[in-house]
Amino acid sequence: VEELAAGLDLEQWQTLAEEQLPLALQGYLLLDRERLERDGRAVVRRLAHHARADRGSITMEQWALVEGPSGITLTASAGTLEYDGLAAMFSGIADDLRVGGELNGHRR
Amino acid sequence: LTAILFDTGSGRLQLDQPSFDCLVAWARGHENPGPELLALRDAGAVQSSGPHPALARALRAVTEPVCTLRLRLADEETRLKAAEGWVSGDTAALLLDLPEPESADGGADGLAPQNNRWISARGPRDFLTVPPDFLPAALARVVRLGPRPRARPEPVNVVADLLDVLLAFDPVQRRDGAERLADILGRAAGRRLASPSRIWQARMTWSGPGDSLTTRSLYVVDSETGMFLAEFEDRRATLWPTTPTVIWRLLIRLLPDTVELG
Repeated sequence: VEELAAGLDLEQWQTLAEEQLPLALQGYLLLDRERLERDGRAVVRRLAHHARADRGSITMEQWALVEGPSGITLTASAGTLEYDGLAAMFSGIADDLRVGGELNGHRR
Repeated sequence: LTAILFDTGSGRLQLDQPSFDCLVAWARGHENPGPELLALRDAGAVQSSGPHPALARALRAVTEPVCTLRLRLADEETRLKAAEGWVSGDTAALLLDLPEPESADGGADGLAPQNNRWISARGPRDFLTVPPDFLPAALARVVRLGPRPRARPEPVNVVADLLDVLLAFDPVQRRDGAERLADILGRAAGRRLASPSRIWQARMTWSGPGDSLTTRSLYVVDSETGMFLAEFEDRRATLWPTTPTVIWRLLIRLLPDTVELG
């Protein structure tokens, strides 16, 4: 969860993220990006590949949404050769993501 | 003859097809692998004691492969490119066509049918090594997999011959095929397409239990209206709308698992 600059919407935030990811992740390759609706909210889903020295080839899937001033990103990563067997589970976790409400007096 | 360039750090080798064939023949122990051997020695790829250490595993994958890969691609300008791959143990070796300038006759094809192989007749090729788990990403870069618009959900029916023609060696046939496909996809999308589609086919082959030969392949139409996956049935083919995510999963599935390898 990160605080977004004032006025930044989902598309603008994710465009900035797309500029940062290749700088942060070795061998970054964007494979897919789509805009979805989940629980009445706009969500940007991203699929990408990158490399880690200790793990080798990684497939990363992200779902990003905006809640008030916060940007929320759910990231699921797996070794690339394991991704095909985990993709349905990743998608199910993302489908179950619920944002909002209060927990101990704080937004959650 | 293309100059041979060898990066001793990465083991990456740039060479033409005759030089590659010579290198493989030499690795297999042929007494007279070809006149290109001298240039391979000069580049440092071939040494008196054997292949340069940075090349040894890649050459072992080529000469003793568990799986072999063939990829053929026609780009948006209907230029044909090819890739070959060999996987063995912890190594995947790839031989890729490098981009080259348009030739004077207007054709930039590096391909010709030779001994039923999808190989380059001229032009530089890139021989490189990646760990097998990086093979899907290497192929994704070759076919330029990335975000695409979503095609309409209806499948598109075509004759199977059209899909053969789109990857034919004859550039005139390819251009004619690309125009026919653009008409069909344009009618399905309800608008005229501005550019030909990128077409590619990848095929992985391996020997399973009992030495049975198994092949897994995918044929993709990557158009400006979205991506399609071809399913062949006799002389007909169906282009099913698909997504880059599905194509990524199919690229991963090209590699057989340990059960399939027996």
